[in-house]
Amino acid sequence: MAFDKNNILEEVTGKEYAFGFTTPIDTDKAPPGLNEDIIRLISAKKEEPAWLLEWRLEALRIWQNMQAPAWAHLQYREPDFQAISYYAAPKQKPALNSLDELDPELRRTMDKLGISLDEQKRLHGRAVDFVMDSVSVATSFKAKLAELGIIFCSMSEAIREHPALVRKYLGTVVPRTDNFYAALNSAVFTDGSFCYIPKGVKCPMELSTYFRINAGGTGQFERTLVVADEGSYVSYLEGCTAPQRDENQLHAAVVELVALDEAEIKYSTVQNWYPGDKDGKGGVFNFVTKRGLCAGYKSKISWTQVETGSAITWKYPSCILKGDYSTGEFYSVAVTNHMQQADTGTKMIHLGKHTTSTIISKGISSGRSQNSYRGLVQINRNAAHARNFSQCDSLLMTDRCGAHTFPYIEVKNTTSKVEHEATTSKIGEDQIFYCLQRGLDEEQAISLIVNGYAKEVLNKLPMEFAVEAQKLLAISLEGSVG
Amino acid sequence: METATTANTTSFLEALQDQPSALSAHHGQQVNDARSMSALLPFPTTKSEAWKYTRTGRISNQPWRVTPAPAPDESTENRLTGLETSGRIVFINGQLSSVQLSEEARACVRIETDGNLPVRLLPQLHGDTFNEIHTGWCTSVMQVHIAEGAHLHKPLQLVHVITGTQVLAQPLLVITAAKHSVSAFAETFITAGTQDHSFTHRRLWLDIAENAHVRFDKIQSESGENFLLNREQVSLKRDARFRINTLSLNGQWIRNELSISLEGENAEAGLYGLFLPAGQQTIDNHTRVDHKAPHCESRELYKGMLRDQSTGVFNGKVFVHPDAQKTNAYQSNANILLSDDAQMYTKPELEIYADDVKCSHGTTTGQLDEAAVFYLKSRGIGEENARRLLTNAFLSDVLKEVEADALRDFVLRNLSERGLLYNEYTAAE
Repeated sequence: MAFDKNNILEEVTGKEYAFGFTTPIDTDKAPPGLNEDIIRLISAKKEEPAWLLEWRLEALRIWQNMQAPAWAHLQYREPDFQAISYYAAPKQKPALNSLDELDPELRRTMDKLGISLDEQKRLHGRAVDFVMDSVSVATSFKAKLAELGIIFCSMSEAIREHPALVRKYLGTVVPRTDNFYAALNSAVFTDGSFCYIPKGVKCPMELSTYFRINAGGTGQFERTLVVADEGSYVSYLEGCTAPQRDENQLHAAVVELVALDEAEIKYSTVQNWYPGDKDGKGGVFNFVTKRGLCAGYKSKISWTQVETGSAITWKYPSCILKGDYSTGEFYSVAVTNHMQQADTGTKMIHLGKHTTSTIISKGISSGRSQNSYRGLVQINRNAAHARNFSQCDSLLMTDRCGAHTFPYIEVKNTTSKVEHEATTSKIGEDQIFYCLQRGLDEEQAISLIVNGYAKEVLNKLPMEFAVEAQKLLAISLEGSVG
Repeated sequence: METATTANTTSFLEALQDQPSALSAHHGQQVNDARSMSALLPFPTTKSEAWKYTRTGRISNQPWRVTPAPAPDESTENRLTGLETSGRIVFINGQLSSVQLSEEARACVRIETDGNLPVRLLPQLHGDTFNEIHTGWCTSVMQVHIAEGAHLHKPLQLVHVITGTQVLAQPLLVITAAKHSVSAFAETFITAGTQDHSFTHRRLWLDIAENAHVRFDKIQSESGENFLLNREQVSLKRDARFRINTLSLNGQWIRNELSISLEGENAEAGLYGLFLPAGQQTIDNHTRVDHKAPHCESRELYKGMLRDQSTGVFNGKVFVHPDAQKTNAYQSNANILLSDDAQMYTKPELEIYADDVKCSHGTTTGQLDEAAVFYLKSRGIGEENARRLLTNAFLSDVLKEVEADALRDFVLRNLSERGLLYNEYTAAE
């Protein structure tokens, strides 16, 4: 009996990170360090036009004059930016005519991650762009999307094939001067996804990008740009994993969304970068700038995120509500366990009249982790009749973790209404007792309660993602019963 | 960096150099250290998080002077008539002018004005630029000790009057409430005329011992070009109770920094505030509640009403330390903007390191409910009065916390003079 119990304990605590494997494929890697030569090398490797090289070099100059932000409620050693290799790509044939030509090792990786491209085609009907070490390696369903005029491809391809579109929107939502990590990304980004939905088109399937860091000693710097033209709709999914390594790998991505008149973009993320081991060794540093621009009348951008991974999360998906009657939404579940630290939230900048925004943030801290919500709601003078509702709840699972809330609310006119509320508590003993008495064990009871707590956000995720997210929540909190 | 720093504080310090500090000669070392530190430390700018929305430029670029207090006259007279007190202590331009104690108070209140501080308090003399300047050029030091078991139900009144220009007033108040004592304080900040020009930095250190109860009402109503910084550090021991009402009615620039530390089990603190900036005024409330012991409770409610081009800031922080289990902490801030040019910045924060706690905060910023205005109009109440009535209702949540009638009357009269009240009160005059 006692023997069994030990086994279970070992199994539970032993289960840490399911995606920690590395793929033994050849990688083309630049020497570590960051300078003009590296940027020229990246640009040359990708056969980029001159304007983009100039754009990158300018970003590098801006970055060199910036300081890493220190205001977040995070403690970590700043990565050595000169020790990172800024270009790593799986070696493969330059162009793929069909998915069958894909490196078999790479295919196996995708199978392991549960994103088999063939299967995807048959079962889920969602188009996937797979980015490994910041280089897009495969995109599915391209032909079908092209029929509708939807462009969905890797960023490098977009730069080659649709330079006018890329040039028009790149850096308009997140300028190079925005912050330290955005400047860094602008200088060195290697790939990412690009998506353009033409006027009046409702994208018939979920578009999805899967990010994976594979090579060691590298960082991942991808750039995503989604443009929804007038009256269009798109739902976009993003997932990420990384191998288990002792070093802290850097991930500094930029995501820009542009929604024109009456367009709607729904952006969902399930972030599961390697969080480091129980003692806080290793793990991905996740410094991401995500921002959407509701540029036109009645445009809408909705961010949904489930954050379970990363040693450090520094991420504030934001909406600039410029168009009148535009809407911004932010739904987030952030789970931290062991030694993880998260400082995440959103910014809602109301510029247009009758703009509305909703923020629902659910933090769950366990182990010795620190979980902070940091958000800004800014109602500018001309944003008459703007409306915001924010709710940020925190759940504490152990007595050694921390949950914090830092909301900034700035109101500059008389017709707007802003409401914010937050609560912090732990799971009630009566709730657990009730579940136990109904025959569930403690682990199941907690999982049930946590899922109920996060339901408001999970409900916003597309079907398959919601299932994945629920499993992820259960795994992340395994063995955390205090 | 160095040059910018010096430029930032030079004009402030120039006029002060040889002026005395009210701290006793025993603390000469601290005073000298503070003077040299204040030359090195810059004034906070909007780049620092704690001063993000409040500018200090109009304070730092003025040549303030420690001005001898004139003899009390009519203009510095008590305006809080009708308040039954157990004593009255008046500061004019930050200098102690008079102390009167009632028979009852004399038996249980001990007052020291020699500027001799107990050693345990000395570290608190230092800190940021404002604290260093305060220590360097302190204008008066007063220590009030409430004896063990004393019951002082009528408030001890503290009056700060400003008269003249370029006045620097930096009083330090140290209050200790011994075990099982009950005491109340009513503090007012006023100006003699409307042409006065001053910078007041009043520091208050309040220690509340086991099972002692302290109630503190603070009314800030200064006209003219006055800058008012209030810093309060309050500590509560086991079973202690503390209630503070901060009523900021009028003032060009007001900043309240209230820090409460709950250090013994079952201590309770209530923080209530009202701020009504108008014109170009800025009123900034920073509060911090540290829950350091288990089973404590804090309640906080701040209400603001902003008119014209005024700015309001609220930054409340609840900090629950790792062992402060079974903490209950509630924080609420509601604001009404009555003008499109007014700006409200609010930031209610929670920082929690214990798990068995109930903490919540809420904040709203909006306007008077138009449906309610319409309802009152349909009942035959004019638009203006309908709005005043609703304003009264909004403010009453905080006003009802003020216990002494005379104090509440003073506030209501002030509001009525500024056209913020329903006519009934004006009619009663």
